Amino acid sequence: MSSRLSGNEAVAYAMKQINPDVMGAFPITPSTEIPEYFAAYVANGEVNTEYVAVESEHSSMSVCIAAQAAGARAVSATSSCGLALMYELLYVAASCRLPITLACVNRALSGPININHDYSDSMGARDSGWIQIYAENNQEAYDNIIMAMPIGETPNIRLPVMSCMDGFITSHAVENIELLETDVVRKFIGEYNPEHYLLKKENPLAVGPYDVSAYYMEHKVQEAEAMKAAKSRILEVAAEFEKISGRRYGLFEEYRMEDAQLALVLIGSTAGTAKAAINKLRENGIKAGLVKIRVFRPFPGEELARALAGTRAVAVMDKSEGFSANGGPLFAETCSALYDLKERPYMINIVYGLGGRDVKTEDIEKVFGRLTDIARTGETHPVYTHMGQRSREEETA
Amino acid sequence: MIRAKDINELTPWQDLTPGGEIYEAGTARDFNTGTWRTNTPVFHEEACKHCMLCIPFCPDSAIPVKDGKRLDFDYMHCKGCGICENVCPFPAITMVMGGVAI
Amino acid sequence: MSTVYNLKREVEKPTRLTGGHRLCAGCGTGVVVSGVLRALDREDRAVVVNATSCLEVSTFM
Repeated sequence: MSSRLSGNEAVAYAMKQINPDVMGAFPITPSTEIPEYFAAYVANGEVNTEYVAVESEHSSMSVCIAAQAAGARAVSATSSCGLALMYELLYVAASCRLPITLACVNRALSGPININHDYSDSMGARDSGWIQIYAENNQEAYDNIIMAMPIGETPNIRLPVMSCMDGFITSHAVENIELLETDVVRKFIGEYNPEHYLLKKENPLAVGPYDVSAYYMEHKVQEAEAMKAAKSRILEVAAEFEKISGRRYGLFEEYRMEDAQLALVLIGSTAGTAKAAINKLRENGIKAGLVKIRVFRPFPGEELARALAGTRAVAVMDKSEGFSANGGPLFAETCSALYDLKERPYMINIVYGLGGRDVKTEDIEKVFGRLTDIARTGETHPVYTHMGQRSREEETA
Repeated sequence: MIRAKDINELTPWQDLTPGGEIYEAGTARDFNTGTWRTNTPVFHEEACKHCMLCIPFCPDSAIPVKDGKRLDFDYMHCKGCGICENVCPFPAITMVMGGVAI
Repeated sequence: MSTVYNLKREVEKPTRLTGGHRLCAGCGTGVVVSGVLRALDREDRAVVVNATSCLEVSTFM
């Protein structure tokens, strides 16, 4: 069914079709519209969801954990400082192995206070044990939310899923979208049947223990193995999703990478801008390509290494600062993934777009210009730079 | 279903419950806290009027009750705190030094 | 079920806080919690929620 929706509307609509049992609802720009639109569905009786309006995001994740442990499907939506406020509970949700679904509308973390898009919020949570899937546009945001539960609820996975989209750029811009029929979505996600749950009659359940050192490491190894297993499960679910939608998804999207010599690695809506720039460069004979990361956790290291193996120079573009003084988070993961390649491309890191700073096709073309020089001279220095800021000095790229 | 008694500090990670969940109630019952005692209560049944005051005051639920009468102490769980001796209105409980009831 | 409180009847109920927890000897928490849980009827099923505290680490370890 064709429609025109913003990312938030699309995600709220997907949640309506999923009809979760509980939503922990708290507003924060730019994710506010998700619980807002969903509240209208609740008020109109279009869903059976228990809508719990809580006093903070810490509470909304608490509600989700309690509900999911009790045997219900729980969802929530948040951004930026809201995600930061639920920080300790993200770890609890993942370590209690509760497949909660969270729509994270990416917004820069304070301070200074900024409501626009960057990935500092979800990147800050990258070690929490949540599966993280990023969308380029409203279609992907809609599709990813629908695929979240079949991924997380798998018995050998049992991990919560954070479905991310760009704040304002994707969440508020209205674009064309293809929606699935509600009965198709319901059939796709099936029923939630955990083996043990708090409200189970046959035996009681205790969740969230205190572990002494003799046990903690084993439980964490279990969680790590589940995250490793999530990679193949994500692909399985995507294959099933292709059957009902005709849309194909992988761990990342490769754009004109078959013969690419120069490549970008990045996440999210910038891919749209980059694809336009690449098309223009290709017309001028430059073999440019793009890898758009869709699944950041678990990180598709091996697969990414294979995709970039044939290139000569790669620019990893991070739309979040990790303040490592050594490059952004995506750069660190990508370098680590490529380390074992016999022939490694030159790699540089460009941190851009912080706090919603715009990036244009001209900027992408400049990046490829730098990659062209690097491929020719082998001079990558300075490896880690920022792009788009005003400066007294002329900055590289 | 993995039971608490099958879990100990030698259990490999594959044999632990996911996230440390427990599927039974009252698994602490198998844990011996009686070894904590430095003083021990002695039950003098002849003096006991079975008023039931000691039972709700025991923090460790170490005084079993059956058919309206209290039974001898559960020495596997009694930590020897002495609250029962303090609460008993009759000379039915005395605390002695040491970990065993003599 | 009579609504008049009868101590002898109440203490006959199986305890809902078993011994063997790791609270300190004589800790009032044990007395209070087993008292609160005694308010449940025999046939009641309960979900107990515990924030991190002495009680939580001593009873769920």
